This record gives sequence, structure tokens and C-alpha cells, in this order.
Amino acid sequence: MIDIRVVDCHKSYGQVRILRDISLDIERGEFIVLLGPSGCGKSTLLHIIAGLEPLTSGSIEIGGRDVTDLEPKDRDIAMVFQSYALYPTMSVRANMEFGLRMRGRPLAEIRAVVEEKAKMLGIDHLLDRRPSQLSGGQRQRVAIGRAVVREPRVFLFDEPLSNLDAKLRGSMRTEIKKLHRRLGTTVIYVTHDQLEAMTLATRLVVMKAGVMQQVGTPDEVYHRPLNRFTADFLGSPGMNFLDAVLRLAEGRVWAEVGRTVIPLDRYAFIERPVDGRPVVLGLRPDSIRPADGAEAAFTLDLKATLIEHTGSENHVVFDLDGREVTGKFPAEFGLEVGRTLPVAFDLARLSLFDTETELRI
Amino acid sequence: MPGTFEPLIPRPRRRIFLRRTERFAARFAVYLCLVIVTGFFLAPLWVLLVTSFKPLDEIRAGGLLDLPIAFTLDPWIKAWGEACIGITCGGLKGYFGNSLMVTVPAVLASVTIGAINGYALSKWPFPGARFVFAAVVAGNFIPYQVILAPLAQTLRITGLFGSIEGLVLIHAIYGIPITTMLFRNFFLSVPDDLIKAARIDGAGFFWILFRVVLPMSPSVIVVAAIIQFTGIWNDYLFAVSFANSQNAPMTVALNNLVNSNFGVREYNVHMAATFIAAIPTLVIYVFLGRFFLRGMAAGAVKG
Amino acid sequence: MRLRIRRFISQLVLSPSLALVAVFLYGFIGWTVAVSTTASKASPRFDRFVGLEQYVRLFDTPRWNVAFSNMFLFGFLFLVVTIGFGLLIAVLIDQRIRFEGVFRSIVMYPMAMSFVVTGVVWQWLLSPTLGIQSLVAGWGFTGFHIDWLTNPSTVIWALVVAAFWQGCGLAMALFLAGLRGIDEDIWKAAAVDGIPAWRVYLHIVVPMLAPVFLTVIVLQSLAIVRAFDLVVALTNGGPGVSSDLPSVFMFDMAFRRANLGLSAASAVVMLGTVLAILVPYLYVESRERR
Repeated sequence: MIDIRVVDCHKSYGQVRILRDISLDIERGEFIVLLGPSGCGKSTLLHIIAGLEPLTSGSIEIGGRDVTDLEPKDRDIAMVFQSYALYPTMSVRANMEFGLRMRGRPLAEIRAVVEEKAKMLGIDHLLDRRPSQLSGGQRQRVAIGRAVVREPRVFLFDEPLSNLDAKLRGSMRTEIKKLHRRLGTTVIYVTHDQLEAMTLATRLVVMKAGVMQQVGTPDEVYHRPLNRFTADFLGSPGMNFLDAVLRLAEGRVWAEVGRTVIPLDRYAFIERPVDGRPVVLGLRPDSIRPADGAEAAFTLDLKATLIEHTGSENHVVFDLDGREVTGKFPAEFGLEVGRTLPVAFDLARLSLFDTETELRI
Repeated sequence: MPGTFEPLIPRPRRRIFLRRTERFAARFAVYLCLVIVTGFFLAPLWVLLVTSFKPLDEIRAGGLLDLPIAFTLDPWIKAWGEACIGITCGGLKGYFGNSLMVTVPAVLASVTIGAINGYALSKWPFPGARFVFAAVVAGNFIPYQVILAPLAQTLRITGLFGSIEGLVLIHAIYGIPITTMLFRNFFLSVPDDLIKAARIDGAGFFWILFRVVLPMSPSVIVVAAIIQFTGIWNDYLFAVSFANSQNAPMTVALNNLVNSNFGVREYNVHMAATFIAAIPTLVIYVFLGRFFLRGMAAGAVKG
Repeated sequence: MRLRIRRFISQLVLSPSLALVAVFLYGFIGWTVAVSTTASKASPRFDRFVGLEQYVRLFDTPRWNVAFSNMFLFGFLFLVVTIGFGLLIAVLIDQRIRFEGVFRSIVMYPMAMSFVVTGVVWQWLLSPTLGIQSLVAGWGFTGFHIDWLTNPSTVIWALVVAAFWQGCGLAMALFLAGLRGIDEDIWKAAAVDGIPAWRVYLHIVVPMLAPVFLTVIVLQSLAIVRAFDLVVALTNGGPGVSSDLPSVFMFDMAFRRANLGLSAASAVVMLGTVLAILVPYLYVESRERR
């Protein structure tokens, strides 16, 4: 069942176009993450869905209802802000009650709901404090609590974790995921943090300059990026891009990278390969590993030129005919700069892009 | 710590003793200057106060700064209840009341309107909001002389000329630019996310103003109220132009009392009257000086 | 439909104020400018258009010329005194003194006083028979006299002193805020270089305070153009018309001499003076912000 439908949404401020041609169907219970660099329009899209900003053209449906012209309060949504946006002059309790009071619910019911949700979020001991007396993590919880008490059809999160330190961010991420599993409510979540996006999303929407680049499960988007931007935006260290030329020979397709020739038998072409076509070949560092000799993987002998230790793994830069290629090696794999060793490439996971359009081919 | 302004003084070790005496001399000079300055600014108030408690013959004998020998409250009693201003001899008390009746409603009205305007301009912007703001704020800089004559004409036509209501209306209207500016600039610092959160929670334009924004802004409300109170209480131009003698506020009455050329000049009564006229704003200054300063800096632009 | 109203609530709420400002400020300014081109006497006569004749007559009126030049003289003296002493007092108060709050409050309390009160007080202090002159004479300095209130050539100083007493606090406060805003590291750097304090003030701090100077000058200039109550209460323009200011002239012509046309012309000249101060200032401000 479709819960939210964004149809042909456009947004411009004067001459500046913020969003173009956004269409998106969201199923009930999905956890949609809008991902993109700052200024890509992801927050604007969220605010449009919330009804906080009017759209230039197009329409929004929530729960089968056209809400394009409805006020935020009539859209059956709740939102958590990056700055938390807690009312500073009200206690935590009053913050959580405010929305329900505005809706004229009976006081006893409001009290009960607030107590229950506060307990659920572990903030019931903070109810009488002011937001200024809370830590960042506690404020975050209260902000979520304020959204949860309303039991809305949709939760909107606008970069909710970016004001927290790295460690707290990790644990809050897990909690949001648990919360989603428990409530089963549809979530739209805006972030520029790919780790959050990958771990939380059931589906990911990658955006750039107001245009949707790709919609899909985190796995799809990561392993089958539809364009070079998406490929590049996800993953750390970033995908290796190598200029190559397609070759058709011996009834097989090859990619020629300098003097190296890579077989593309396992690549699912979208377009018919043409001999001599220049392409960009993309390989994730996770697909470049030490050859263990056992399997019949594609293997090259490469020289390590740089090693970065991250603790859990090493990022090794190899020289491939004068081009740099980064691979992820286990930390316990003994290696020093300057050594040449056999390196295995997982060719099932590579991507090919057109050099001009940068689209997957 | 007193006596140190370390960044100013280089510290060669062998001159440490000399440095101390030098420093002492410098401190002494600073305080001496400040005492002179203090004397200049306080003397008028002091003279005002002591003179108002002296009988006339003691004043004529000189001794401007001296405490009264024959301390008397009569000048105060006379200034408040008996002094002749124009043709009536009821003292200042009626005019004090006029001032209150003009000032209080005008302050309430202009602060309320300014708060709503500032909120609308900063938190609910629309195309052209900046232009509207500029057009309103420009009103702060305009010398009132340029609107005085048409204003008098308008008041005559509407029958408000000479009345308290007329003055209230004028002060309320011409208070809009400064209060709008103050509130708008303050509200810019209120995060937009709060407004958005409240909208999602279901609060409307005025609910958000009264339940979320204004509770966060007591200081700017006080500042705006102080500017308006001081400005309107101290106003002379509008008062002398538009109030009839019966509805005149304190400033006009005081000037008429002191600068009238009839009869014996009762300086002690004049000084008491002057003090009475200054009391409300002085009290505000003493108790709310912190806000007063902020208000003055912001309000100095006002006509 | 409800959204429509909501979307325009901001404009809706602002429209009464806008209407008032449009009429009571811009409409009235237009009215005055229009009247200044007519031969209106006791009441506006828009049918008697005379072009710029009123402006010509204005600058042929000796009293106006006294008032107009007084404004510049008063303004110049007041600015010099206020800026000089305002900055000096601010520097003194900035020396990490004890009871700073007390000193600050004392310098600034006159701001709470109306110009009428200020004028009355200084009229008293400057009165030759009973004021400061007799006080100093009583101390034995019989040669001392201040005849500012009775001497047409020095009466301007009476205005300057009274206005300084009332307005110095603002200048001082602005300068003090400016001094407090200067990075402590500047002082440390100067100390490391062994530069004496007065040189730091003169060559480093004062240039850094340039924007504050500009603000003080503009704010105080605006106050001078509008100065009215002070003159009325302190000198009433006298002796004769020697301490007249444009605002007093305008008021007299409009309300006492029934010469609306000439009064409007003088008001427009005052507005022009304000604009001449303000427009360059706002231009500089807006450019600096970019």
C-alpha cells in the first residue's frame, strides 16, 4: 500500500531551481533515506512533504489524500529537526504535550500518552526539566519523543544526528532503527552521512542538484550505481575510476586499461557493448583484495605504493599502469610499501559508465 | 583584578619597583579623571535636588551646592498641587496624570504592534518583506518637523486635536518603526526550526507568537517598552504641537511653569517640578539600566 | 481555501501598519513637500503654486539663516566635544577600574532625562546671578563669569554643554562597546612589541574604532538636526534669535506665524539635511556588509 506519493514535484526560488521532476512512491512502513551533498535539495523536499514550504508545481499525497494545499498540522506527520527545535521556555513535558494540546485532546489522555512514550524512550525522569538542562543526546530523545506522542502516519527526520558527537551518533542510529522496527511507521530521513543512509534505509534516494539520481535498496545503490555521481558519493574510500576502452574479441567483451585487459564476462550490460567505446570502469576498494590463490579470480601483480592503516583494515594504493587503485586489505595481512604482490579483483561487482553522460552502461 | 592591565605594561625584571610606582601614578590619574567626570555629570542632579528643598531666600543667598539649612518640603507640595501653570493653579499633578494617560496606552499599543510586525517580517517572510521592512524602518530617521503640519491638519479634521486620545494615537503610530525594527532584529535570532516545529504541532500564526516566540523574548519586550516609555514621556514636540492646555503632558507643563515670565520666579518650586518630571524615567533607569542602555543604543535613531 | 488565508497572514497582519506608515510618514512628507511649493499661509492652498519661491524666500530670511548656520555650528561643536570626551571617558572606564558599573551609570543617567528637563536644569546652572558663576565667585574667583545665556555670540555653548551632558552617555557607551570588542590579542601583541599604551590607543585602537565613530557621528547628527525641546527650554532661541535652530523656526512659522508654505520649505530642508547625512552612511554600511 502506497503511503506517500510525490508527483512531478518542482520547486524554484525565483530563477533558481531547487528541485526538478521529483516523483516518488513510498510504501507503508518503509524507511526512506534522502541522501546527497549539502544543497542538493533533500531538505527542501522533506520540508515540502511536511508542508512547511509550498511547491512550485506537482502534488503530494499522504495516505491516499492529496495534501498539497494542506497545512503541516493536517498532514498527519511529525518531524524531528537537526537543531531539535525544542521550545526553550517549556519543560520537556510541555514540549511533548504541545502538539496534542493544540489538537484539543483530553488532558488525561495527553498525560498518559506522554508518560508512556517518555518511558519508552527512557526520558521519563527528565520530564520536568527545561531543554537547556539536557545533554545533546537527551535533547535528541525529547525531539523524537515530541514526534512520537502524536502517533502520526509519517515521521520526517531532518539530519537528526548531525549535531551529536560520533559515538552518540552511532548509538542513536541504532535506537532510531529499533524504534522504526517497533512502531512500523513510515519514515523519511534526510542525511548527508552515507553510513546512516546505508544502515537505516530500506530504500535510498540519492539526490544531486535537485534531481533524483537513483532510488533503490542500499545494496542496489551501492553495488549497481546508476551513474558515476552515485558511485562516487557512496563508499569510503571512494570507488576507483579507471579510463578504459571496450574491446570485443574472441566472442567476449574486454575492458582495456592501459596495457591491462580485464574480462567483462560477468558484467550485465544495459547497452550493447561496442568495440572501441571509451568508458569509465569503476571498482570498489572492497572488490580488490589479496589473492589467496585458491579461486579462479582475476588476478594482477601490482606494486603497493601507499598504505593507510585504519585499525580494522588497511587501505592499500596500488600502481596499475601508472593509475592509482585502492584496495581494502585485512589489517593482519602483512604488507610493506614497494612490494609487488598478486591482487584479486572481484569482477562481478564492477561498474561501467559512459565517459560523457557518466551513466551506467 | 584592580590595578592591573597587564597587556599594557612590558615587564623588564630590574625595573619592577619603578614599574609599581609608575603604575600607581597611572591608576591615580585614571581615578582622578573619573571623579571629575562624575562631578560634572552628577552636579546638575545634586543642585536640582538640594535647591528643591531650600526656601527662596536661601537660594538667593548663593551656595549652589550646599545642603539646605532650613529644609522645607513646601516647594514639592507647591509644585505638585498648587503652582500656577498658565491660568490654572493646580500644580503638576493633573499634567502628571495626562502624561501617564498618554504614555501607558501608547507604549502598550506600539509595543504590541511592533512585536506582531517584527514577528511577521522575520518569521513569516514573503516576497517584498525586506522592502516593507526598509520602508517602515526609514520612519525612524525622518525628522518629525516634516510631518508636523499635515498631522495637525489631520487631527483637526478628525476632531482629535488637543485631546489625549490624539496624542496616544500619534505616539502609537510613530512608535511602530522603532518597535518593529527592534522586534524584527531580535526575532531573526529565534531559530526558524522552532516555528516549523510549532506549525507541525498544529499551532497557528498567533499561537506561535504568544506561546513560543514571545516567552523567549522578555528582554526585547522590556527594551522596547523602555524606549517607548522614555521617548513618549519625554516628548515635547508632539505635546506642544497638539495638546490643548488642559490635556498637556508634563514636559509642556514644566516648560510653561519654568519659562513663564509672570510673577516671582520660584526656583525651588521649579526644581521640584523638574525633578517630578524626571522621576519616572529616572526610576526606570535605576531599576532597568541594563535594558535601558540597550534600548538607548537602538533607539537613538528615532526622531 | 484556508491555506490561502494562512499563506497571506503575514501580509494581512502587516497591512494596517503599512497603511499607517504610508499615510502618516510618506503621505505626510509628500503633503509637506507639496505645500512647500505653494503660497500657503494659515491653511494649505494647493491652488497657489509658486514653485521654489518659498525656498528662495527661506534663504533670504535672516532668522532662518541664523538658525540654519547655528545648526552646523552647534552640530560641529557638539560632535567634537561629545566624541572627544565620550572616547576619553570610555577609555578611562575601560582601564579595569573598580566600581565600573557605578561610573558608567553616572555618565549615562542623563540620557533618561528629557531635553526639557535638561534645558531647565542648565538654564538654572548657567544663570549668572544664582548659578555656577555665583558659586565660583563665592569661592573667591570674582573675575570668573559665564554669560553664555545672555551673550548672543556665545549662547551656542550653552546648548553644547547641555546637549553634551545629556548625550555624552550614548557616545561613551558606543565607544566602550567598541573598545570591548577589540581582540585582547592586539594588546598582547603590542605589549610584546613594547609599544606604550597611549600609542596603541592612538595608532591601533582608534583606527579600529572607525565604524563606531561613524555610528556616533551619524546618530548625534540626526539628533542635532531634530533638536527642538532643548532650545525651547534652555534659551527659547534667545537672546533675540541668536540660538535659533531650524526646528524652532519651522515650528514658529507653522503654528505661530501662520506661514505654512515657508514652514514646509524649512521642514523639507531639514529632511534634506537628514538624508544628506544618512544616505552616504547607509551606502557605506551596505557596501561593507557585502
